[in-house]
Amino acid sequence: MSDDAVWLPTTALSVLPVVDRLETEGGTVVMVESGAAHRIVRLSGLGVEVLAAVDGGTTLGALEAAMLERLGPPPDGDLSRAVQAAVKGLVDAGLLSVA
Amino acid sequence: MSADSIGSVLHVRALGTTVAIDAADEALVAPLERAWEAVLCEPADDGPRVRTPGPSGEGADRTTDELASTLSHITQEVTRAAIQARAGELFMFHAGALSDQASGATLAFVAPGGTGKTTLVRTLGPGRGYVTDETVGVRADRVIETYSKPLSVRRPSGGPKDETSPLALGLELPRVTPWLAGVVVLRRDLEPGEPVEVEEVDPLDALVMLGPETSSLARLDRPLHALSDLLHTIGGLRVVRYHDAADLDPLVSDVLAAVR
Repeated sequence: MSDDAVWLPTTALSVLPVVDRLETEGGTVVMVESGAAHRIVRLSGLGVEVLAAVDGGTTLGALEAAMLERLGPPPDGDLSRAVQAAVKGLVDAGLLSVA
Repeated sequence: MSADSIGSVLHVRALGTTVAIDAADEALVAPLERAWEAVLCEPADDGPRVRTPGPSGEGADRTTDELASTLSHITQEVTRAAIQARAGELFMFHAGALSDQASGATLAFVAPGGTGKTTLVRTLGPGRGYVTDETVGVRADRVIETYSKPLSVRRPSGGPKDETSPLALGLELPRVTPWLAGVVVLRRDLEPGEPVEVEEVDPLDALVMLGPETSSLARLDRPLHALSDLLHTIGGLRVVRYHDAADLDPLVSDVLAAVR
């Protein structure tokens, strides 16, 4: 999906496979295939929560509801913006796909 | 050992494999033998093979610059072939490395190409074991498969760098099997006279930092776990900021004093 694509509540999200995932008390890193190479990404706490909420697949609307239940409203109150920013970061990192 | 009498094939040890260099141009054999003298070896049946460019043209010898560029290209091909051959078997860091000649303790200093690995090897290498200035191959048990390749040496007059035997530069191969005692990331960004700065890297950030400086890491089994375990075993990753390579001598000596 391109940067200017419009994401709707019905936009489908799915978690992409990773080469490896390491979880420690200090946080989580994942290795993602990137063409013929690979990339190692350290996940934010929000990123970990989003991936867990998407799990086997969901929609953006359902993800927002799940995130509200998991974490409560964001400090600025704009849940949609916060979730979409997190989703975009994970899409850019090759960890989530949208359709 | 010299080139084969048939087909002029040289064989060199690189990362624990034997790479055959098929010299398609007889004029390249002698320069290749000089540059790779430290690691020429017997043929192996199952090693990778690279082929040099053919003759440069009817009756036309390569210029010195052309020869240097060709030899440099061949080195890159050997590196690529060796890395490909050992993918999935070794950690392979874009790093130089020096070892202690008595214990084998080795420091790998990670840095992108052109940012100080060869200079550090040439400056601090004498009296130590020259493991590589290009790729450090590490087994899971921390034993290092050496790649004591020719060094690319800048000429005072400029132009392409010359592929030069480490022996011709006064370096020695490791006398005992090297093993990984430490890894640092080099940052040559201090001003002259400023003291060396050493900073420990958070264990997870270390994985992110080292990832781009590895080859074929994803081919290992559970690569993040494996790399994390390796770094934990050697006391983690440190970033070293410096200006003059000679200033790193105490750091190198400290790591090479490690015991297993």
